[in-house]
Amino acid sequence: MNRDIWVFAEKLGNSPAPVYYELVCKANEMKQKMPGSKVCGVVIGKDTDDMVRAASIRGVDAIYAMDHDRLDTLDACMLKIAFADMVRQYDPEVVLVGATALGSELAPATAGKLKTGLAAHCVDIEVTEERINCMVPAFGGRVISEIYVPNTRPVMASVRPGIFDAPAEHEADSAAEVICVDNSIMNDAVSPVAMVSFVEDAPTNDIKLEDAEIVVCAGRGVSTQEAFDKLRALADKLDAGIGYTRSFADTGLVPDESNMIGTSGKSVKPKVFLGFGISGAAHHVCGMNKSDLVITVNKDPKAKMFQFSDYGIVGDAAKMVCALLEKVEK
Amino acid sequence: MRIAVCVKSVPDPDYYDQIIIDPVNKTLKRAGIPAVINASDKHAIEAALQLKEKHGGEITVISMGPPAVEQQLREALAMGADEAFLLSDRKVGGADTLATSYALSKVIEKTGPYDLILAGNESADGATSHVPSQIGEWLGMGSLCSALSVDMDGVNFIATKKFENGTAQFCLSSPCVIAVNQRINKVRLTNMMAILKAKKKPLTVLSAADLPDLDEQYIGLSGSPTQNGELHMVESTKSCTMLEGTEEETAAMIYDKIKQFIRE
Amino acid sequence: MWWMNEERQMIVAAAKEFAEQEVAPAAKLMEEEEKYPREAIRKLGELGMLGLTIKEEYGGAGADYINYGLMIEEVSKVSHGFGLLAYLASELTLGLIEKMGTPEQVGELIKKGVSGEKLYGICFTEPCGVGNVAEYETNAVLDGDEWVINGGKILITNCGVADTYFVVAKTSEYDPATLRGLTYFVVPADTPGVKFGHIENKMGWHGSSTGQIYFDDVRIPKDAIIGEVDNAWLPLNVALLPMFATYGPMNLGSMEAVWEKTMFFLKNRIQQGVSLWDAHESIRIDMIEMWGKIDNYRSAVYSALEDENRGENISAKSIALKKEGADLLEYVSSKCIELHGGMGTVYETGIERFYRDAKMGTVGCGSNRTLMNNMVGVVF
Repeated sequence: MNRDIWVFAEKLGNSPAPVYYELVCKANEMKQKMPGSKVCGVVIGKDTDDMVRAASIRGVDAIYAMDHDRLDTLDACMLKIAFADMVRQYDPEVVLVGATALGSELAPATAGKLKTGLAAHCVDIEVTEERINCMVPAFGGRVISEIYVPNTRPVMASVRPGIFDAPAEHEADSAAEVICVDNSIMNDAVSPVAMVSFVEDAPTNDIKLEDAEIVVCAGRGVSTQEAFDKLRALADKLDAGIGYTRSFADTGLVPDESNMIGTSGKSVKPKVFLGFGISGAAHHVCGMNKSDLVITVNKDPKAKMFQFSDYGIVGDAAKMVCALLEKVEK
Repeated sequence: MRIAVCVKSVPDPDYYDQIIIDPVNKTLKRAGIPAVINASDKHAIEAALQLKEKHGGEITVISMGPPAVEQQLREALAMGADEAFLLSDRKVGGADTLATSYALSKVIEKTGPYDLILAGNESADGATSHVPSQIGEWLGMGSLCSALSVDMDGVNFIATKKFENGTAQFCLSSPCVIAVNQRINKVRLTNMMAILKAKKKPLTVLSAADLPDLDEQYIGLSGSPTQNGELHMVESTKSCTMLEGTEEETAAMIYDKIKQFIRE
Repeated sequence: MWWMNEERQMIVAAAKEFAEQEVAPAAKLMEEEEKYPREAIRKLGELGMLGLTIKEEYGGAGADYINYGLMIEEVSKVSHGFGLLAYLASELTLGLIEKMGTPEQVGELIKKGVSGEKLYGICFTEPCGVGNVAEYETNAVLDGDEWVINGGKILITNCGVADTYFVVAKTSEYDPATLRGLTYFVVPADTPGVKFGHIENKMGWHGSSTGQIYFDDVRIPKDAIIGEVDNAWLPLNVALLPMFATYGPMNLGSMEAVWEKTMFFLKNRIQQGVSLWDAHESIRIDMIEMWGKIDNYRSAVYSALEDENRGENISAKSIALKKEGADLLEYVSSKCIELHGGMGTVYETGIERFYRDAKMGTVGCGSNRTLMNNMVGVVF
């Protein structure tokens, strides 16, 4: 057994998903308190050379890669066979997985196969003398529970994208040792699930919420078409990302929940977060409370959101959107 | 076709902002919060009802918890399920997701066989989304999480799932476990006659002794690889300064602050 | 509340969800466009809510007046007028013919009504006064195999909207001693000779389509009757009187809604940093006094409904519930309008409509004064 920290490098397009870099950064922080440990990327797929290269960045000591035809899929039932086998072959202490659409499924599936403990959607991981504590939100983010894995190995944790910081640039580093993992288990591997098709989303000009410096967030207080249109215009003028709360998403003014900010949506930590008509329910706050400057407008002076803000204005959120838009346009 | 739907009884999320931690014994104070069927699981029941309408069959709801959970199972029967099973036994209590999914998989084995096992994708209280995949692993069945559509195609099930950069379609051979995303459907309004008929539908309470080949090392607190440490309330690190003035004035103040901050 | 159990909690939850999702938007159109909520009533049927007092053999759930009351209470929290229409679509039409007629006469009619497929109306009132039966002019004469009906009815709700009307018409000389001389007829809306007249512009119960119906040589089959020839009026009244108890949960739901809205307003209306509730003892006393009256009324309503469940004749209680409830709803909504200040009189605030609808309850289905007086000789 070793003290290695493995980080799953999920493929998004042609390179690792952004959450990989965030987790590598965190893993390096953890490594400080785990003498003798190495931070290792995990690549699983077919024709993995490019991914291995892209995943070899500064801070990664080794890359474990399993390459097999059958691994060219998003089927977690096939991928878990490979992942679990890699873990059994090399026995790391910690395995970190980004809680993406795939990761959220692959992590528990693999943990189940290994009969080990998995902490879900951690908002922090702490290494102490005795153990590794994973901070897991519960009750819609109202409470944070410490979860630890006393007896089984590895300790697995999933983390949503945007929770941890990543450096702005990742330096490629070819010094990482590349271990091509024995893939013979995949030769006879069968999954009862087959990925039949994958249709890529149409490219969009919208600013990605996770990358935006300024985020404008819509809550119940602006849930009319008119108010939302004005809010979109404001975001456009500010070059801001547009997010919304669950209450807002429930009104049907947006086609899906892809830019919902909260425990079951995205986590953002922009420089500036502008909240319009947001009450501040725990499950929303959980997704934005690492923002630098938070300014909130709400007509209810007792709105909880004010407690999580730097500046607050009691007023009609829709009217404030217009007033701000006018100011910015001048 | 036999469909099993795993449902969880959770404290009503409308009350979560009232939950506090007891300062003395550091446990959660959640007395008085009514229990409800986890919202996501209702969408799973609705998906089962739609499949039953289209292809015929029977719907069984399964849950695990203290005896009071019977009420949530009665509600599930009132929604249209045909029969219900509750595993209620101290031995399986205190379980984390792996131990919970093991116990549920044993109930599925005992009361099955099923063609399809549905569940909501996440629970309002724990929100791990682990249990469906782990049930699949325990039972050696295929699984898929966060499905946006589920339908039957011959002996297989076809489901779609959205990823960050696109949408995939999967074919799962039966039997399989599918966890549904809430956006998969709109839960229909409850039929009053169905509520009144629910008391006549079979609801069986099982204990650990009723489960076949139960391996006790995998159940309950001792069968849980993850353990709970301390609880913390989420507190704010900010102190809010309220801005006063007309809309024009406060808008100007906001804009200045944004500009200041971005420049730094 | 002693009458609540887990099953009834589910009933209330289901009715509440229906009220929020289906009744609220329909009620808005009733108020603003006088649009009859046909679809919402149909859905009530589809969701099994119209058969809560009807026998199982007719597609109902078997009679439980508390279950029924809980449903009416929930929908009436959103709209008193809709509560009235739900009552009309269930007890007043289906419940009435169930008690009056043979299975051959009423079986199919009730089943189609319970499911929401068909909507019915009842035609009693004439220009001479609903209780002034001796001077009713609408009559039916047997001509071979058919009845020929001539006459007209006024203030008929569901006018022009129903599929079939149940009509009280004279078939013999009226005998005040035995109440004989009237028969209850089944008249499909599309029968030649059935004409619809003016729809009234009433102060309340907007969108309920109350108007005049004329019968001009309307021919219906000999067996298109409910009950016996000449013997409709007494059985109708015996069956009808206890049904007025439904005004109990109807008024109750509405007064609860008005009180709740007002309480929320008073606690959140802040003037110079203090809520109206905190600032004025007189306001607190008013609200608490009203709470007491509403609580008393609630106990009276469900106690009467339980008596009915146990087979007691609650005719007199029903009239009392109708009268007391209408008066109390008028009082509560009147006061609550004032507590809101000027905005209380504004439609969008959502209070004034209950004040208007309350008055309708003092005369709908018969004026309370007449009904009370009718109890003389029966109970008193």
